[in-house]
Amino acid sequence: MEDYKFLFKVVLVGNAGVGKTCLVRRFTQGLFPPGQGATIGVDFMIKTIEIDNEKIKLQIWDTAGQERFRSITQSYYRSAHALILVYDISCQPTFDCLPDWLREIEEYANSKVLRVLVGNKLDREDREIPTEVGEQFAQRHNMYYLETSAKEAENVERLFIQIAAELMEQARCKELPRYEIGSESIDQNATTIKTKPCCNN
Amino acid sequence: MGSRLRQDVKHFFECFCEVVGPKCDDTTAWIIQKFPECYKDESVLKSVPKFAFPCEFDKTVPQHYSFVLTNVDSKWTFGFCRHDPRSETALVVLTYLPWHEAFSKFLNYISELMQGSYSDHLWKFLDIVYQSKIPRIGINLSVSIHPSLKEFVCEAPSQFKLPSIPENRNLTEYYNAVDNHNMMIIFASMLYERRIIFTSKKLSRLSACVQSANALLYPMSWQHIFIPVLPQSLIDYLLAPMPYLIGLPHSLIKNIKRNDLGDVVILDADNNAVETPFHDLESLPADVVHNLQKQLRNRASVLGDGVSRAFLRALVQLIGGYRDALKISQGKKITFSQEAFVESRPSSIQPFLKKMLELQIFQQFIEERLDLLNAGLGFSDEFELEVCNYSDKSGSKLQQYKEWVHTMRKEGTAFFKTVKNRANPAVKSAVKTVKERGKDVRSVYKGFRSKLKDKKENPNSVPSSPTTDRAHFSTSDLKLSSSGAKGDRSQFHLLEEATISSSQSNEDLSPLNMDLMGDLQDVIFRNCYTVSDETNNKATSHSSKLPEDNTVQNCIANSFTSRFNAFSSSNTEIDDGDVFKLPHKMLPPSRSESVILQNEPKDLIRLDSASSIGDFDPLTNGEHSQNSSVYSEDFSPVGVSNPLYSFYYINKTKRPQKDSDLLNEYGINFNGLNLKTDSECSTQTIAKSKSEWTKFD
Repeated sequence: MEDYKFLFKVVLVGNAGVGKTCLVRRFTQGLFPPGQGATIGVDFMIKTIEIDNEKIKLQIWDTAGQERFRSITQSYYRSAHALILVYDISCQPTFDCLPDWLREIEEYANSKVLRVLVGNKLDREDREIPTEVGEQFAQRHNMYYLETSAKEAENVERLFIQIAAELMEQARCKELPRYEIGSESIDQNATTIKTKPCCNN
Repeated sequence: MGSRLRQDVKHFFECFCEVVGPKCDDTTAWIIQKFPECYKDESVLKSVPKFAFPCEFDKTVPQHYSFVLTNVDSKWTFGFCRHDPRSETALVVLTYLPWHEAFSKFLNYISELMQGSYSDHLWKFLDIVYQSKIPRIGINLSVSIHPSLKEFVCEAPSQFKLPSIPENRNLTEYYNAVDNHNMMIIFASMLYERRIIFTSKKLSRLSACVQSANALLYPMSWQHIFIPVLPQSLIDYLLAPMPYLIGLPHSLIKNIKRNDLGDVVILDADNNAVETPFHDLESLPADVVHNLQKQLRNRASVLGDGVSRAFLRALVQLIGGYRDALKISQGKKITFSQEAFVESRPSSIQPFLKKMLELQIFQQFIEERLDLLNAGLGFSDEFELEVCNYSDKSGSKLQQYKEWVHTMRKEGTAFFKTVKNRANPAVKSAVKTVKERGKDVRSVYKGFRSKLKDKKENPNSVPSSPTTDRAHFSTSDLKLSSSGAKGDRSQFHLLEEATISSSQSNEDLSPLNMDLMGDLQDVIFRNCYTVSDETNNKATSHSSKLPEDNTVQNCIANSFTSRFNAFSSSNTEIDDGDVFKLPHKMLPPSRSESVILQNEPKDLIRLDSASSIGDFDPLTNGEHSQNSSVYSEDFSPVGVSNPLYSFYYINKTKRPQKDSDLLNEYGINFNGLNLKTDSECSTQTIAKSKSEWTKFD
């Protein structure tokens, strides 16, 4: 029986093709079986990590078909603990779309959702957006910033661990609902990465 | 954009599957046969057994329910599922068409074929149906495979009509299961885009309630996770942090811990109980809630579309003002001004409207309407009609709308002309024509606008919106400039004045203060004359209407005896009865008219007795009504979800027209139209430095 101290929900947002799914797959090391994205429209992956001897369950949600939203409104992520906004450092349009993704970002600056800006595809030679530009954008909008490469596994682990650590810190300050010993019905025994099989009770 | 239905549907159904249920705990459900064999969407086929046997459930009665699969483009595939106690397998049909009644008939027919001595004919039947063209709205699909077998007949429903009780089984089920107050709470929760769970022991009730709750949001549509029946294996989706509407079979509730769910709204459809941590209904503007309550309480209007219309009117009150916030500029795409949207309404509902802007369903709705407008299409549906009624009643926005209509008329005339001249219109050329026309109009409006600017210098005037530096004419400009005058009357005169002076500045400009309804009639029914005249001598066909009315009667009888607890086989008998055997027989109009008169549900809550919409009702004009029901056989089916159709109004005392008739008369074939996404992004972000920014290192 798995138990965990915290359950955090993370939502991925960004243009098609920036590597959102790859980021998560890399983080879960491809062990996660192909999900239900093609029939539910939303995919999620779970990974349990340990920080300061506390087990933390990260649930990472990846929505297909976001392209149809010109922007994502607050209702989309208000129940999430963290939001990762991804762009491709070798593709200017994906960066230009960032303000559209989070409409009126500054308005929600004090919302509790932790927001992280990620420039993905660090491995690409043809970078179009300098690190400083990404950094400045993140700074302006009160976001965390990190550049990653899902392909080379660079900074991917770090990204999620940082998020988990930050959320745990917040949770300890009672800013977040606490998830005490996990419910047995929702989890099942697994080491780090798990999905829920049919439970035939 | 906003729609989650597919436009390019080619087949009545995509795939038929027979699924064997799980035998014991260690085997899962699997597909034993499917048609067509070439259907190869693996991810869908893998999911079908899960959805066909989502959990343990009562298999002692025949059961119909529907599930929904969402593809990567967020488009829906409907799965209609039939369980029969006489069989160990479930019948599933996958389709892009949300035709619930038609597919339950289809499954009943297949079931009869399989159970009877004609099972050899099943494949032949499926093949014929698969190859058949999708029937047009209001037209029957009829397939006969063997002389000794009953013909299969089902009608293509009109998606432009509001769901009615009892014809719409989903809504009937929902209305029976959930009381008015709880329906309103769910409605409000959906407007606030909550995470919402419906539960029921019966899968049929579950899917019906979820589908209906979404249907009551019309003209908006749920944009988030939508799973009318959640299979056991996907139960973790209840933990999704984004908004969802999920139907959870009651037996699965024990598998989930409330603590993990977070803030959710739960409707127990078996016990008519809602649990919510929010105060969403209380947060809706009080007068909207009050009106809704009043209309729902009117028991006389329960039959027919009274329930749907009550919710529609609530939405009209809330978001009908979107038209006042449209900014129209020649040569540019029509845009939506958020500020104008909020400011155009009474201050009592402004806080709610501000929230509304943050909602995905509203944003997608606006996107969809803008796409339609920018595609050069005038449009109307029940929602727009109600908006007209409402603004007629409140009276204040009529003038503004008049201007808007006038502008659209300029473009619309060109559009319709193009359409008329070509049997199968190419949109490109239509748009081109509109653009060319637009050039003239633009210069006219420039003059008009400069006139308006003068008006604005009046000390009483409200400062214009920030977008006025762009050279365009917008409805909000007009409104703001006229708001200096007191009262509706004077507003009207002021506009007339502006109109006259602007027409002086350009001789070509026709006066703007034309009669609104006259304008519309002019635009829309110009083609009506032509088309009608051409087809004058063709025989009229009302046969498709006749079976429907019989069905209505059957359904009414059925609903009060069995309350639609199941699609009983006796009902099937009636549905497939003799009335359907004459699908294309011509009937004299008078006969058909009398049938309708008898069966038309009483509409007791119509508010528009003196509505000027009646002025351009084609049916009040004798000449039109003679010709208005002509079908042209080469008219192709309208896209399944396109809310467009030309302006029409059902006069309750006259024979209602088929939507497709009207479309046809105007020479519109929407199949050729491709709505383009508005890629223009108007979001502005204000740069703001935050010192508490942190960086990973």
